[in-house]
Amino acid sequence: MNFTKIEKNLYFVHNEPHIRISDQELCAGCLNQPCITSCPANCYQKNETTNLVEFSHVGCLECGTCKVLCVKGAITWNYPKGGYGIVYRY
Amino acid sequence: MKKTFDVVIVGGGPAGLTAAIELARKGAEVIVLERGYYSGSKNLFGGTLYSKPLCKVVPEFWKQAPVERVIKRKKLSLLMEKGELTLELRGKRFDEPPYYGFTVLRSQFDRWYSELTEREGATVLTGIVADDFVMDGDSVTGVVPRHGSKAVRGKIIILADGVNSLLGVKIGLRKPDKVEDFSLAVREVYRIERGILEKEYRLRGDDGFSHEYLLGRTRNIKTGGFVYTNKDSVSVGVVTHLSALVESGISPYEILDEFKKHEEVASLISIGEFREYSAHLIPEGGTGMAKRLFGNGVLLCGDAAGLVISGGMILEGVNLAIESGIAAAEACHFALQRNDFSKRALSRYYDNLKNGYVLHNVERFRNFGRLLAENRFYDGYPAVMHSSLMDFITSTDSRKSGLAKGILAELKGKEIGKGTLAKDLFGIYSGYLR
Repeated sequence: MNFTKIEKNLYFVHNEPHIRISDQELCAGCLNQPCITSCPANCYQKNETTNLVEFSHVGCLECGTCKVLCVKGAITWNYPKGGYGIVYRY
Repeated sequence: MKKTFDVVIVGGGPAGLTAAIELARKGAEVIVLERGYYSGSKNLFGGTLYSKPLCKVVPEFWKQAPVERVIKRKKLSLLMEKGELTLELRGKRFDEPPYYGFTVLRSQFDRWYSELTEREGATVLTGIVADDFVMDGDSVTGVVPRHGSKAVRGKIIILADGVNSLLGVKIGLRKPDKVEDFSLAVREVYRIERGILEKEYRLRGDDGFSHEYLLGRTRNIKTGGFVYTNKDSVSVGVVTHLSALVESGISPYEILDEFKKHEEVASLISIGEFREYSAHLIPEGGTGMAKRLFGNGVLLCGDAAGLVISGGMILEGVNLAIESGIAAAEACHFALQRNDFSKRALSRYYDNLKNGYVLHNVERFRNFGRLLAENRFYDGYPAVMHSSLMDFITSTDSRKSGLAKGILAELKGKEIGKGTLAKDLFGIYSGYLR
């Protein structure tokens, strides 16, 4: 599915991802991987070749949903560098 | 930069900025650290800024603040497969100063509020993330911004860093996140030319409305929806409990798209131009989210403290954030005068909230959110009410049987037993009637 919801948003994207899947082993051991469907910005994708979850911080809305849902603790979650990330205009 | 501020505030939203204004007015040296490019750039909310608490800080604020529209109508709709049931509230208190509330866009409102804060004499630094604390024994005496910047020291640190409050968790005031304590809001903003919007909704001048929905029919997901009118745009969104979201296996934007198919919403969107998509968590665990609201040299305010009410028709947060900012400022002022920043001195903040209405109201609805998370409130009761009312009204060529009888029959059809009903009624009683 082509995710178009965020295309009107303003972001100052920083090179360095503020969120990382820091423990792929824990992540792979998660049965339902709720981050994939629950992330409102569609940042989590399953790589069909490697079967691993991949995260891209580019469209991230910094809501914290993945941080709360990742009960395995496989994610390292932080805010982007000050002034970077999403800039809501409305 | 001076070495030690009286108060360092992390988070330039309604809670933090209110505390800053109140303290600056009392002559304290205050600095606010905001991680966004500007205040409000990371924020959104349902849309109602309740008037009265802000009036305490800025009387008649609507004359200078970038408010969108006055809420003149408050609507709640229960949607179900067979139809819908709407409650609409209007009245003088909505129409006259100090008004009930206004729709605002946080990116506009918070930015104005932060400029006001600076005019009142506080320092507001944007684009600064505070990542860690400076400690002196078990007392917080400062925060450390990211990327090697110098520590910002203060006699008292106010954490008004929002729903995710990483610092609140770090210092142990906030409990670790629990899935059941959060809802996710996703929202779209559509631009609609002012004249067209006002004509379409027969809005006079700056009149507007808020419309909340309990959605029982969109693929059986427990979700609430909302529509708010702004000056020349509308905000449309859905709010879903994280546990319900996971359970459904559906994406939040798919739920939003379902909601947008609702006739009324669809017709509104059809005349608008899509402008922005946003998402934010809502703390719903109330007073259960924080262990304590104060520690040695540190206070917890607003969303970070879980000060939100989500109880059906009652959705409050920004008012409580502002009020907690006022309460925090009063306690800090007291502590500064006595030069005592221990948790015993700062417990005055908690007392302020306890003696006022904030904790009372949050506590009152604490179990309500959990109650509202039950399926019955989405696909049970609304349908029961709708069907029995519909039967009663449309029996124009037959003997009418009493509403109670109809309701009981419908409940039976929905397999809602008397015990469950009694439990739910007690819940509603505790929140709304007691």
